Amino acid sequence: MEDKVFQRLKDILFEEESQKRTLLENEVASLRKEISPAQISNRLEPIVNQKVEELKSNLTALSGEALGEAIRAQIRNNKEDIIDALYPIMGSLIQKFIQVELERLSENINKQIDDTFSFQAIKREFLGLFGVKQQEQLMKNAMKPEIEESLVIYQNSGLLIGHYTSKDTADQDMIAGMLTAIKSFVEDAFQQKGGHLDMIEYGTFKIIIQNSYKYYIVAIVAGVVDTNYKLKLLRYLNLFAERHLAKLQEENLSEGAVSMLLDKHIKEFNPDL
Amino acid sequence: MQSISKKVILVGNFGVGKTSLTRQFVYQKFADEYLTTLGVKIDKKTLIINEIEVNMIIWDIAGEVSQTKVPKSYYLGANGIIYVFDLTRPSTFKHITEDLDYIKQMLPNAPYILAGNKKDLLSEEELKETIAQLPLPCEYLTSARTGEKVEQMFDELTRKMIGK
Repeated sequence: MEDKVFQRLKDILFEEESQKRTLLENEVASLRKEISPAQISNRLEPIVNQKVEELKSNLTALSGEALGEAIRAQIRNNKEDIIDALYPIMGSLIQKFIQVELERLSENINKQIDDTFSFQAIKREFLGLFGVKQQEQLMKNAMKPEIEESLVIYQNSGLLIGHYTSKDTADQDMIAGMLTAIKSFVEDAFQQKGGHLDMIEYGTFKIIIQNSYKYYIVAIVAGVVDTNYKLKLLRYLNLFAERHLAKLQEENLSEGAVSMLLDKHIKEFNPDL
Repeated sequence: MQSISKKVILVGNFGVGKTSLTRQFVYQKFADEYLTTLGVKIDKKTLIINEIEVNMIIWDIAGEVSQTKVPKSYYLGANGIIYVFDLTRPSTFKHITEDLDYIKQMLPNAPYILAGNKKDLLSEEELKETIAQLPLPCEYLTSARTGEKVEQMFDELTRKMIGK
């Protein structure tokens, strides 16, 4: 009996709380239902998909700009790092080039030193007496220009009249034709009356061209060619043209005869005289 | 043995087969792919005719005959000319007369040969129709692909150049 009364009293006193509790329980149940993995997945999926699509369409622009800016900043701020990164590629190429050139120079100097009793060695000793350093003479000689090929060509047709070669490489007839085509093209393109192509640079070679009336003479030179050498060579080739080519038709010289003359004169050419 | 050098120029519109004819004559080769010639390409072949060694320096001049597009100097000093046209493209033989007049004005003494190339691409019937349309009689109907008449054409030009 007491229990019933006590329960009744409890119901009256806590009626409001009981209602609130029921409401809260319903609320919790509803929330639980809403945040179940299946429900979250259903709701989030379209939103995530939309964001992914937006990112996809803007990714190239965003990353391009960002990457470009990042590279620019990296170059600006870390020049030394960039050099370090590029060095293994560029550096080895430069290193190889310098190494080959130094080897050639060293071989030339060794060749000169080995030739102890040659005229050149005695000349070096003699000049040494007057204060000209032997090292300087050796360096000068090691880098000395050398005529590897020389060609006498008809100005108009590009046909070869005579040639000199220290190394048999390509076909001289074809070289003569191609040089004439290049020369004609340059001279036609710039249309300067009296203007002539007088030098072409190719790698470590200089192709020096002396024009005369009907013919032109080409010298393909390896080594260091300075202005002084070039002028002396042009003067020498001009002299050759005046002496031998001016009377070419009168004397009816064959290709072989012109080649022999050219061979003799090219071997005799001394830029120090 | 007497040895002489002669400059031969090949002229004509682009794509008529000048380079292929030269390649066939010098190297006995033909390639299907078309590579346009830039400027000029020079080849050499030696022929022996009547105990005379003739070094033919062949200038294959890039695709035009016009006065403005090809440096005049490429033609200078030529000892022989081959004018090539394409038998399958009438536009390449429409101006033969004017083009030859222009060349002959520069090289009055040089012998020339007219060559209608790509014969292999035409049937007998089509060939007859094309020949009827030509503004000048054509001595050589050639095929750089099969080599037909290529050797004979260069041989005849060489003989004309050395007067044999």
